[in-house]
Amino acid sequence: MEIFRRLVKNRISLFGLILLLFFVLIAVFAPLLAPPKEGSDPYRIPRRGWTLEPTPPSAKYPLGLTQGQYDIYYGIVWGTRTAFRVGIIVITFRALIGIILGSISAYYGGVLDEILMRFTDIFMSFPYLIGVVVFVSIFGPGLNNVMVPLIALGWMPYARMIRGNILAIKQEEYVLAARAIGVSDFKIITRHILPNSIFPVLIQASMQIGSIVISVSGLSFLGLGAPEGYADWGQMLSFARNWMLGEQGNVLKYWFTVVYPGLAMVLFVLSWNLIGDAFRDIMDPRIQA
Amino acid sequence: MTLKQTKPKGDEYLLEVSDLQKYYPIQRGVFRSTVGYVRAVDGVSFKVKTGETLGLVGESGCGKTTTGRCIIQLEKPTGGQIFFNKDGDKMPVTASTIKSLRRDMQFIFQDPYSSLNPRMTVERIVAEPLVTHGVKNKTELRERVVELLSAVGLSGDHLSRFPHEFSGGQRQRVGIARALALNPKLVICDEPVSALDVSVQAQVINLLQDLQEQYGLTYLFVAHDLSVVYHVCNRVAVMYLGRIVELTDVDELFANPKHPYTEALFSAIPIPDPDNQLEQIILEGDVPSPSDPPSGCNFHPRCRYAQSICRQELPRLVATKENTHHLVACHFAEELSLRGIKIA
Repeated sequence: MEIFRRLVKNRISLFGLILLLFFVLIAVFAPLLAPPKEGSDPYRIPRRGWTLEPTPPSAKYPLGLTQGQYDIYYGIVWGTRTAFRVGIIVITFRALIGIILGSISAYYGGVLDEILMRFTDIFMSFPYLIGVVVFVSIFGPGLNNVMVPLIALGWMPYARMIRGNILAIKQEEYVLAARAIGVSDFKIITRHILPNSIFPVLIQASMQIGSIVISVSGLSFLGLGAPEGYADWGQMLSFARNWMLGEQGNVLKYWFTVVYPGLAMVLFVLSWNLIGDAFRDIMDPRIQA
Repeated sequence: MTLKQTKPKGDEYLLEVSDLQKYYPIQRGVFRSTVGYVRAVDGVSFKVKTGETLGLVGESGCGKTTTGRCIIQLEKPTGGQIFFNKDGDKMPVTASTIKSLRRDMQFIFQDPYSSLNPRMTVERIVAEPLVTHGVKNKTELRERVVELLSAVGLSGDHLSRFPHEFSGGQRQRVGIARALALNPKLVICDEPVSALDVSVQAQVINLLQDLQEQYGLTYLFVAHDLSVVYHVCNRVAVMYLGRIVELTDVDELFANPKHPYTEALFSAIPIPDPDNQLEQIILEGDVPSPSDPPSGCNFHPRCRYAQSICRQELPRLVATKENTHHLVACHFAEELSLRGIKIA
């Protein structure tokens, strides 16, 4: 609660929190904000026509229709859910794998540490983009098939970070004290070591949620991610690809195809980054009173 | 066949350490090949009687803390044996038996600023040993914690506070309460007061002595402050570079030291008496590296009485002729007459 109070006190992080809350509300109330058609998959953006050329905003379609007459408003609202889902799932698994391997490695040390860290090094040597391309070309495109390689090739920094922190905390006398009492290894790690070493990881995680959304959108933009018509901001930007330059004499003619999905993404990433930044300031022991 | 011996109380040994060794490998290069060892503890033997306080003194890096940690298996000893007298049974203390002995052996740490988890309340810190050893009932737990806190001079109001809200002395009291939670018989105190202000040191020492009387505790008291040692210990072992050089009753040691190193240590104690114009013995040079100890007697490069035999032969820790309770590791223990010290 102390953390939350400080987050609210800081103006920048308060802004981040409000922004995040805004997105959370959109995601939660998506069925009310943009009711899907009865019986159809709500994550499929409805098409309001069959022509290719985007239609500018109107009273009926407030944010306009992008290429293929996909409803931009609907896509952004339901895309928020996709953004949260992708960001949180990928980061949670990355952090979880990293924390488990990193803490085992650091706590037990020796040969086990050596093996786990070399294993980590091997994973670090794969470029993630190639990993995704290979994975998708084997298992086919789709959000889930993009998330798997993003997790598999993204947990290593967490493992290293947590390992380093634990190596420092492990020598503290309160850890020795717990061992002298006879506390089990599992409880020593979860009660004494992790609470004192996990915060840098949480900060990193909150900052990365934003950037994961960008990565996945980028992959969708390349056609590796969400299938056509799926509510995903990257997908919507990829629709805008052919229309970004407008037409001769009127460059901004199709601005709405880029600005709205782009804005949603920028604000989403910004909110996480502001919170992560504030987290870091709060958790820095030198600032702590 | 031997019957179980029932020795007279007070002469019973609670802890026996024999030839304890702890070497740390020095590893170099890509393949971490071992190029040598740091001999932190190199063949230490002593016995602690039930109910007494045995002091373990020496300068920084002489292995006294490591000895303490090896006894409760916080460090895995490289060699030697440790026995603990559990209700008359002599049990070896090893990594596999330590679990059942944790209740009987506890540890008080040196630095009260790092020995308490900053994210746990005092209640949780003191309750942790109880919870770990099977106390589940919440009210029972709380009662016991309050009882322990009041035994060390803290009150129930402190339960929900965090370590950073306390002074150094209070923190050390919390550390003592935690060590006492399981009703141990032996408490290893690793320089329990050296991180505290002098005024607070006296309070904590008095507390430790009161608790000893109240609970019948036995202390292994690791320290480097000789006046503290004089005040709390019954017997003292002086360590130098991983070995015990002298071991005897505290009065005998201070009045009648037999090892040149002990004499040099004593000459460094400031005596608040202007008429006391003792010549100070300044030890030349540094403590040699424990990774490359000198030949023969460890102390010979700095000893002002050193002879050629000291360079060649390692003196064994043996009793002097006049006092069988006075053990010294010096070739010339019988010949030298060294200066003791009087502490008022």
